[in-house]
Amino acid sequence: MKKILEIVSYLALLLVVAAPFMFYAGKWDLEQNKLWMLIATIVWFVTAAFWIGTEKKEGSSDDS
Amino acid sequence: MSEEAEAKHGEFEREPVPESKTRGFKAFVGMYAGEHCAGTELMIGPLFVAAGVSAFDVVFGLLIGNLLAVLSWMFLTAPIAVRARLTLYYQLEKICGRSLVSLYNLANGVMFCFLAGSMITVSATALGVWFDFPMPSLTDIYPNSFGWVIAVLAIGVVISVVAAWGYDMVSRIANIAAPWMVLVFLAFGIIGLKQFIDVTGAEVHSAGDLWALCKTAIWKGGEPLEGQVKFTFWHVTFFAWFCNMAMHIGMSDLSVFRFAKKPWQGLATASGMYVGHFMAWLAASILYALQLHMDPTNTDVLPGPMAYRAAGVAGLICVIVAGWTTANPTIYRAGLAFQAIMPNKSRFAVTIGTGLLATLAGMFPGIAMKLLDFVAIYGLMLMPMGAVVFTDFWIFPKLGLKQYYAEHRSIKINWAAGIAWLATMAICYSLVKTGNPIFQKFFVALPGWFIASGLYIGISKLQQKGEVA
Repeated sequence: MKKILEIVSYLALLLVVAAPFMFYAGKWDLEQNKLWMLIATIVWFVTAAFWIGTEKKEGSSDDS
Repeated sequence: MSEEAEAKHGEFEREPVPESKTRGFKAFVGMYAGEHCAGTELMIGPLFVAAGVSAFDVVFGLLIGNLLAVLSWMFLTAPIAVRARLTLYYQLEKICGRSLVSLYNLANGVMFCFLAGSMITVSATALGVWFDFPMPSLTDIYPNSFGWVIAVLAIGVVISVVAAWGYDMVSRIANIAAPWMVLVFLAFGIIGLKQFIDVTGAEVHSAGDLWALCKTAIWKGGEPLEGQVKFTFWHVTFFAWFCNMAMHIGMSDLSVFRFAKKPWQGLATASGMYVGHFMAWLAASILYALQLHMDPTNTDVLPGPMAYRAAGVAGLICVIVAGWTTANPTIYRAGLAFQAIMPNKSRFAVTIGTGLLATLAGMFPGIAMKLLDFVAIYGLMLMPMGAVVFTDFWIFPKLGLKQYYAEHRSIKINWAAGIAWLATMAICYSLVKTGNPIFQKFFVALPGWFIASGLYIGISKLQQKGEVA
């Protein structure tokens, strides 16, 4: 489940930056860009909250 | 350093960090990339445009200035940090004595409050989009409307209470927001660029076309806007180099790199410099240049409305989160500095008091609108102590002078360090006041570093005359 959420998070992150590129390419207008950036933002925060910053609680140590 | 890490490694505040607790390169890359993509980047980029920068000056000035900043971390801060493995405060205490460190903490805390205030200012501009109250203009110094005061107060109180109660929660939100925020900054740049192409009718099919657009429409150079200093290549270079002067040349980040395995890990700061202080500044400046292009009379530097026009609600969330997540640790740091002076006060009370002071500062838009000047002064104030640390660590042994003099003599004030600090600031101030362009506040810290080092050596020689090193 966590792995799925992680994948969805990364896809949302991809969409955050893909939307402006679609706008740049003329495929989407500015309003569509804004809408997709907002959707991607919501999805990112909702899904990332389940796996970012939870590693420590599960006992992982300092990175190196 | 993130306070998460500070809290985690708090047990090493008065002892060297053991080898077993050192961290790898990646940990520093993430830390710096997140920390330097802050709310204030949304002010600094536009202020470059307001200062009349040209495309060459801003792009190459930032490339070189940020490189100099990275090299300063690598060759000035990190080598001392990995050898001594002490916090700046403890190292300063050993050199300067406890009373002088308290004075340094006071200065540091006040500057952190002003910085946090400007981050609250940035977040409050996002509320202005929703509640439509009059917002400050580029030349405003004092609060200009009741709505503005209430917006800053509301955001400031929330940030202060959260900083006092739930630091860990905000720290977690900051970690979650960091990668998203970097991409939203990038999005600002892409969207702004496309809008520029549309409104100018430019044909961009190559890098050459893009550069031509940059030179003729985005960063056109020329005269600065009213009340702003004209920025040249040298201004941009020195600003990028010195805007984190307190951290590298000023040695604040000894506290961070004492956890590094090797000095070369200072290279990790490049992530913060080239993501935050290159990409984010340029992206934010494109949005402001677009605003000026559309309406040359609209010179207001308001990140909220600019972000909203480009990216809608996601842009507004970015402005609020960028201001909030970076004001929070800044208030926390200021609180730590103040608490060192008032150890009997509770952490909660000090943080709330510090947050309210930052909120009061945030109500005065003059700080945010003059952020370029403020940041230069901030670095200038803390730099001399960095020169003292550097000189004490590397040069004193070669001259046969006693290192860590305050600790050696069990004194509360090492006047050699105190005079070097205060006299350097006074001399730099006098140099700025001469009006000579080479001594503008953006440049004067460079000769200032040598003045501070020279004074510290000279006065220490007098002070230690007859003593055996």
